[in-house]
Amino acid sequence: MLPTDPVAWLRSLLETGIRTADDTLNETVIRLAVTGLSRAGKTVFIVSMLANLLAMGRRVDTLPALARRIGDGARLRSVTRAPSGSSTVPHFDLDAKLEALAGREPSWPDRTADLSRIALTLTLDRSHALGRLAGPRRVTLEVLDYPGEWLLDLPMLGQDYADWSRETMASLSHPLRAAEAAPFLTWLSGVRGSDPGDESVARRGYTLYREALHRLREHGLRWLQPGRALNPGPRGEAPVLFFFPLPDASDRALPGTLAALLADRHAAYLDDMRREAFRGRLDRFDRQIVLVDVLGALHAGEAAFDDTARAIGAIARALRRDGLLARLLGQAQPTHLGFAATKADHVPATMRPALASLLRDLLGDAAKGEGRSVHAVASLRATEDVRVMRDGRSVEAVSGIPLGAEKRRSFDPGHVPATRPGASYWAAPPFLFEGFRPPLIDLHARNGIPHIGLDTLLADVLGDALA
Amino acid sequence: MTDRRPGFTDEPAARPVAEREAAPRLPGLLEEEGRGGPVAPAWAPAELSVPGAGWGTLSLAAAGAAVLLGAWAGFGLAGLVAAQFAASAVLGWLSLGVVGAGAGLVAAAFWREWRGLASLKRVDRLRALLADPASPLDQTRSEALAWVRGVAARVSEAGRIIPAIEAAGSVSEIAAHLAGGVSLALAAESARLGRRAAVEGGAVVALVPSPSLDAVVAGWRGLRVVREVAALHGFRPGLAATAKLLRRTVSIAATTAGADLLAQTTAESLVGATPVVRQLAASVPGAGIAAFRLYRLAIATAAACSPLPPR
Repeated sequence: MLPTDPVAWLRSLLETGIRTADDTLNETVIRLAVTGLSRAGKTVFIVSMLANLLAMGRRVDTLPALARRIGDGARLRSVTRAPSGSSTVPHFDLDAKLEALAGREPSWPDRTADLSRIALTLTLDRSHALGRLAGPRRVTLEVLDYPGEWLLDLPMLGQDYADWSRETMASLSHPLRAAEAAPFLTWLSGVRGSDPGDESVARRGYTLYREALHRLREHGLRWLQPGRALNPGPRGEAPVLFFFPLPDASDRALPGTLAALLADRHAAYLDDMRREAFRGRLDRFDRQIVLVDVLGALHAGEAAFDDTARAIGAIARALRRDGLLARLLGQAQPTHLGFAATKADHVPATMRPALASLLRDLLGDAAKGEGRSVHAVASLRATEDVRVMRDGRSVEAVSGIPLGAEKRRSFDPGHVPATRPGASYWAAPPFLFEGFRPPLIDLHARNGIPHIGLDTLLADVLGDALA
Repeated sequence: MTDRRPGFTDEPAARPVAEREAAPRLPGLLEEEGRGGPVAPAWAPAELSVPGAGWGTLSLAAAGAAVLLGAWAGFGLAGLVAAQFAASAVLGWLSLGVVGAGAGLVAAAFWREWRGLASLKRVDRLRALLADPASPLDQTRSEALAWVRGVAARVSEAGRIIPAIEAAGSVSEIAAHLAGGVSLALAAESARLGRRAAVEGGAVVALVPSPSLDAVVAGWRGLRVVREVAALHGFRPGLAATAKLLRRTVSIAATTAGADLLAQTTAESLVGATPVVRQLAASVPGAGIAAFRLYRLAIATAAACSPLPPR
């Protein structure tokens, strides 16, 4: 059918063409996965990153190393929040989280209970004079926040129930795990996979197993599956969660048995996680930041340290899409991968290189290769460096207000080894420290948020896309 | 080294001293005296550079005019050569040679401009690398060596730090070698060039019959001192590179005017003590001011040419 108003039709066609050309030339979307185990500081990291990027848009040099990649910030025109569009993922409430951090009684964000998403748009001039004729570039940075516990379900996606049971039972044989899981293991000794698939038995086993996971988490252990047993999310505990490992789980369980019931639930759980949490979200990203509380793991003892190393390695492997075919097709993910030892403000400046080095050692080959970097980062600096006398010696320490306390105290993190420490280090009892209260910051963070090393991490992970 | 374990420093250690000395240091928390209240870490981020205005209308018009002029000249000359070939082969080859020589000279000028701009970019890159201790060491080393070799052609002292840079183990170490081994010599030589420009510029301003020509004369000598100082730092700036360098010098002068230029007071007293300048300043006040400004221009240009951040 011919248009009734040819002039309006032509104008509309022209505008559409110009908009399409502009989007094609100038629109870039970067999906950044900020990953890490629970309590690694993902939410604070995202808040600090966004607040500091928004402050850069107000021409405050909050991220100097990143600013240097964009002509000392001269090529940055603006930073704005991108509209949420018709996303089905809940919105990451940056303002509410900033308000909690900057309130009269500042507090760290609560444990993340669900997926949430936020995006910023950075408008940048091109670096070359001729390129500027095409207009400014718009780089949209999409960030996803989610419960760290769920991340450990990623390695489960490649296992069936029998494999997962065997692996979990083997790890429960470790002395620390066995001690904390004793009620579950004792109960389990009287249960067989060939028993009838009874709902009450499955429920009882799950409850005992979940309690064991909670106790192990309190000891600083991180390899705890399934993640939703610890953090069920907004939908609460559904029957699909009611499974636990069996020592005699077989590859072919007879229908009607307990093993078959648990295997069915395990499969349904994985399907649900694939569909609800991962598909189109955690499996599609260009760049990745992996946050690791390596200091907390070090202080929690050898078992927690090794557990963290195992968990981080498994997650990094599960998220990588850099096989030969992906590389040949230019689809390798992530193109840039930054590892960060968080809570760098818990150690004085002179020990921060050792903290990064310890993480590099913990990661092994995962940290090597093009586009990979290792950093020591504090998303929100809650301490000041001080020098104090301890046991008659002058030592470097940090000063802050411990959580739950009212007065400042100095914290000496002890010796921070640059590589995995030897047996003498692990002889001492674990030191579990909750951390410091957040510092005083401006409610609207107009001048950004004080941090350590966030800028060099972002420069390594995002710098080339903005340059 | 004695290992330490983490902990709060006011909590008594659980083990005897002798045992503690041999074992990793435990963590500790310590009550603080004198420090109280909430933590407010020092946080005073600087301001970012202002975004450039981009291509203005005049720039676009000038670029368009340059393209048209170039195309007109190119097609015109090609037509001329073709016409000469049509008339006679000898005339054709002769005209082709003349046109080729002219085009070659223009191309050489462009090539020189491009090299001048590229050398400025190299220094910018090195400055950015040196400013960040986390910069890649190998890249920083190779950029620093390339710059030092360029400078060593003019300032022989610079060559002595080449082995030290080759052996440096960190970016900070490279920056320290550059600051100690090259910057001081370059600063001294830049100051000498500045003093010479001050004497010459001041004298010429004093000789100029009309005060309205003062600015022209000082500007001409200013351009020369900018190019001299740039050459000292290993550049051969053409027109575009000189313009870019001047812009950067203005920016450096603006950002360091408060502290750095005031710190030049002692050095400037040397300029003021130069007999010629002193006499000029006494007899022709404008000449004295021009002399000081030329000296300051030399100092600011040296800062703009240096890969180390301004002090």
